Amino acid sequence: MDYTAPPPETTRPARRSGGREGSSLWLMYAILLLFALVILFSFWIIISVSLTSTAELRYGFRILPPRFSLEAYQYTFANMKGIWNAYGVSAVYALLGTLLAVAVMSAFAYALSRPRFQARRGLTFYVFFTMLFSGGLTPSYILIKQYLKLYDTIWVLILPGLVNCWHVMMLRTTMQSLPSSLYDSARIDGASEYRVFVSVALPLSAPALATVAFMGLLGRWNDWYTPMIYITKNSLFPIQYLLQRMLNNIQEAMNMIEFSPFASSVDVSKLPRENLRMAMMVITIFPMMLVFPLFQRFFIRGITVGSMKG
Amino acid sequence: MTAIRRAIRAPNKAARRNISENAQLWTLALPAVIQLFVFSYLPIFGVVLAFKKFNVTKGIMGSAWVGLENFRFYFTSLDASRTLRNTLTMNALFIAIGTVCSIALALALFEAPKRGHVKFFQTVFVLPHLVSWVVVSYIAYTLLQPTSGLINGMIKRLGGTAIQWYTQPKYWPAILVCFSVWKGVGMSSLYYYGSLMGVDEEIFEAARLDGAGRLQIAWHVSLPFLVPTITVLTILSIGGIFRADFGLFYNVTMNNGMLYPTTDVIDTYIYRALMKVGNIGMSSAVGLFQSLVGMALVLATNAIVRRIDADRALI
Amino acid sequence: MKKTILRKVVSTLLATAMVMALAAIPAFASAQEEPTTIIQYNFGSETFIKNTGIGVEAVNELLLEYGIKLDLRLLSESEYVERMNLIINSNEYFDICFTSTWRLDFYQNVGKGAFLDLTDLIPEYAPKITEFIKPEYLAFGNVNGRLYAIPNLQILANPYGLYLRKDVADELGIDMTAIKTLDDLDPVFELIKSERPDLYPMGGGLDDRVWGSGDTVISFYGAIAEDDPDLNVVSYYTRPMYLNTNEYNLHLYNEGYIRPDIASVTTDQSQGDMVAGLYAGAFGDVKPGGEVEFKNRRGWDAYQIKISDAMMGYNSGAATMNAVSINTASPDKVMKYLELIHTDGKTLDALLYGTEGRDHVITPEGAVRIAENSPYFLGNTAWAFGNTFLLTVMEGQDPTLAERTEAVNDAAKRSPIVGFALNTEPIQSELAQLDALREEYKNRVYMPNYEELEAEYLSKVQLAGLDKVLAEMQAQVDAWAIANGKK
Repeated sequence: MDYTAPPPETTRPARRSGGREGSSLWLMYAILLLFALVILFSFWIIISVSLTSTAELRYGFRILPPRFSLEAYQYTFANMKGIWNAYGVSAVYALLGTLLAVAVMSAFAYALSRPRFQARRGLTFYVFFTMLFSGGLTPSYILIKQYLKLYDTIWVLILPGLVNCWHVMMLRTTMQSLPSSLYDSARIDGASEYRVFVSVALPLSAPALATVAFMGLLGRWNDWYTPMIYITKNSLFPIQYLLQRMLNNIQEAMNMIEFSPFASSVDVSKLPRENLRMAMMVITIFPMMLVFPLFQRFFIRGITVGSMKG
Repeated sequence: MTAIRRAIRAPNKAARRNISENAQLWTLALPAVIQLFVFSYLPIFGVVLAFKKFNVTKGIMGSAWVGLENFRFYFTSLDASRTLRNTLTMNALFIAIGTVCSIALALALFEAPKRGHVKFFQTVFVLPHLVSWVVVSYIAYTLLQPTSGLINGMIKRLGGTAIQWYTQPKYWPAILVCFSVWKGVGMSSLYYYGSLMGVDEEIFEAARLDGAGRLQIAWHVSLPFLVPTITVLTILSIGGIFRADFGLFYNVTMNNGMLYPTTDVIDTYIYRALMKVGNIGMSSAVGLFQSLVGMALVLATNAIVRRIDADRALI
Repeated sequence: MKKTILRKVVSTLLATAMVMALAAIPAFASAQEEPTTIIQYNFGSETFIKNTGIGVEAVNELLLEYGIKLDLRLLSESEYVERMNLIINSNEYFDICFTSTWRLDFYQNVGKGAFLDLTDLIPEYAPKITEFIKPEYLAFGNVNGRLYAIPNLQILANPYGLYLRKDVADELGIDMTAIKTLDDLDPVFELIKSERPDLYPMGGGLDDRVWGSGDTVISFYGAIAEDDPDLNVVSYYTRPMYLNTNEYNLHLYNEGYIRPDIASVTTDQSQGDMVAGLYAGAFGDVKPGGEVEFKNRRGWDAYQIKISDAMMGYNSGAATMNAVSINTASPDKVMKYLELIHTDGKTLDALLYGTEGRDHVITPEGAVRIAENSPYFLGNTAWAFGNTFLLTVMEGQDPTLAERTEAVNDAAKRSPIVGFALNTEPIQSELAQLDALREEYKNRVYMPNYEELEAEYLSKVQLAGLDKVLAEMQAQVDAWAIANGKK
């Protein structure tokens, strides 16, 4: 389908004065600012609690923590054996995984976007079906652990979740909406589909690719569940898993009061709680926020216009 | 002579080009197809558990068939209709309101004149997506806690009486929608914004020269461009309409029993019910039900969309 | 010329062959002595999980003479259930794992066929177990008369009462010895309420165990009245212990002895709040050594006050057991190992405390103390591994702890159906629904429209199939009683 915008004629309104334009700009900024403020406030709650000392927690949330304390962070780092290794693992896993995923998914999405691809509808259904139906954890576990023997390798974190239906569809839609004239002219010049994919579709889908890449990076960075199931080697634990485990154990230890005959293996009397959880959140988000600006240049309007025309 | 020969050969050339084109496209698609086959299709045999009574030694394939027995527990339960209704309505609300908000944000952001502003807003909008539901539940608690929560604090200061948020089910559809929007809208708006970047700047220029204001441009130029994307993503969401986001419904409500009339969904009900009983067949059965219904809905929606505009359809 | 070369070649070959044969001898020798490896899954504290490899050196030294080598795999406590479920469901190989009524449900797994029937293996490979574990206690691991797990002996009958923070009690001059019944508590709560308005007297409501009722409660819903010789199973909701509990908790709530928003507070928070000092006390099980545990888990020195006597439920001992995988390759060695940790204190000490010097030190009094920077110490979770009565005491623990606990066990009132196991299969759907309902209405006592909710709850429970559940329980109890000569 060729993209065509509705011809300007049908959108011609009466002439507007600058004041009118100014007020609609104000409206838009108001919406944006309102939402931004809500988010920033929520995050202030997180940060504030993470900087509260455990003793002060009983009084609940205060706008400013009464006594600034790095207790929660200190506890995390003190208890995190192998934290730097875990960061390294997370980084490799996230980067390598995302790179591979974007490559495989964009190639797939490109194929799905080409109208003359005969398997198009079939394969779309093929990928979409996997989003709805799943055999559950046990068959996957049997497959990966007993047949493929992928456990305790970096590949078990990367391969199973490689193709994400949502991302594929998002990429396909973007590639589909590019003007077919661009594709056709490249093909007429004798380029193969591979060539068209790499030199036409990919550059022009940069914003979508960047979005999918960032989402993929985030998902892999945050994933603690897959390592929990498949990794037992200490050297391969990603950071999120270690953090989550530490937190869950505190929870388990405290839950034991239900079965009070039993001593817990953790001494909970001095453990940080909500502040620890918030500190963990901050530690997790922080690297992602450092990475985000790198992606941003792909989704700021005005950058790719030049390359589109060229 | 040569003309006839050329006429005969021509269709072959086109056909050959078509074949080679398809072969190349297949090659591009192949890695994904293989990955999906190995990691998504092979394990699908596990759905048979929905009809079996699982025995460890006999394994998934060898365990005995029990027909629809595993489905009985959910469908004859007192809360089946309640959980079905909640799941459906809440998800529908999330899809509708979420989509409208993401688009509004994307459109507004797209009109922002300064790059610095755009960068700032995008960065802030992405933040909630990074947060886990458990942390969100704590934020919610800070706001809604009956005695020391911030909202009740404000209400009291304005002279009203504090509301017992965690025991009044009627407020929660709205509360849950707020949190769902808060968490998801930023990231989606990023994607819509990215889509908008595909519009040729000249068209915007032309519209502006014609005197269109920002709102008009947003409504008449940007929005129509987004329609294909919106359609596809909505159809995909409909596929998941019977699957609730467990983290949201379980954590943010603090799993408070008093709120179940409006917050209990299929996934939370199954989780609670099967914690003790732990029957892997039963949980599989409900999962299968959710998948089948989702599939039916998607195919129906897709068919309708296909009737309207074939190119907008998902499949 | 050729002959000399040939001779040289042959002699070299012969020499090589001899050297290789000699070299192979040690390999042969050790191959014959190669001990059988037993894989055991359990859980432990973070630090020690990584070090099980070096930690089990001590116990493996002792196990060597039996031809056993232990491969202990500790999982993180919060992951244990999920990972073990996968291991079991996918038929992955292991020998022993921890199972109980609350962590890795024993009955479910027996139903799935995951555990090995040990009944005949005990007399054959581990006869000493019956000397150390009374048949009555061993029966906790029974399902339908066959043994599927061995209980780890420890306290089996907990008296119920409460803990009161020392600092608060001392400050207000509360006389602990004067408190004998629940009625005695009211004035104490009043005192705390008036003198210490910054605290809530109690962290939460109490459990139905406080009445010391001799009723046997089966899976929350069925009850056999105390001293009922016919073992009739009736609805738990009709029993005094249920009604009285609701009444008392309502009283606590109305008088302000527990926080007014308690319905909104989760268990996690409640525990956290206790640690944070929001409450003066909490209800709970009391037992020998209870104050120490309370201190460890809630961070406050406290007095423990007993209100009711201990009652041994029909499956109390099923709370800490070890089971054997149905896929085990060497049942004889596994049984021997189990025999050792249930009968031999030396083995258990080595397993839990590790190597002396590096992992633990022995104090002059003969108690065990965890070493500085110890890489391995499982003393705090002894109940997960073996017979806790055999263990050398840890520093700070009462040396007579084991005896006192055994005495409590022996003296406790027993349920008439100790050793009975409920087969949940025929009533799975109904139980699932009842559990969901129970969870939903958990806090109904603390709601302003309590009576309405109570009526709603009871009617829903009926609709969910309570009668069917009770009938099934009755049938099973009767069958068990006949098989055990109780009827």
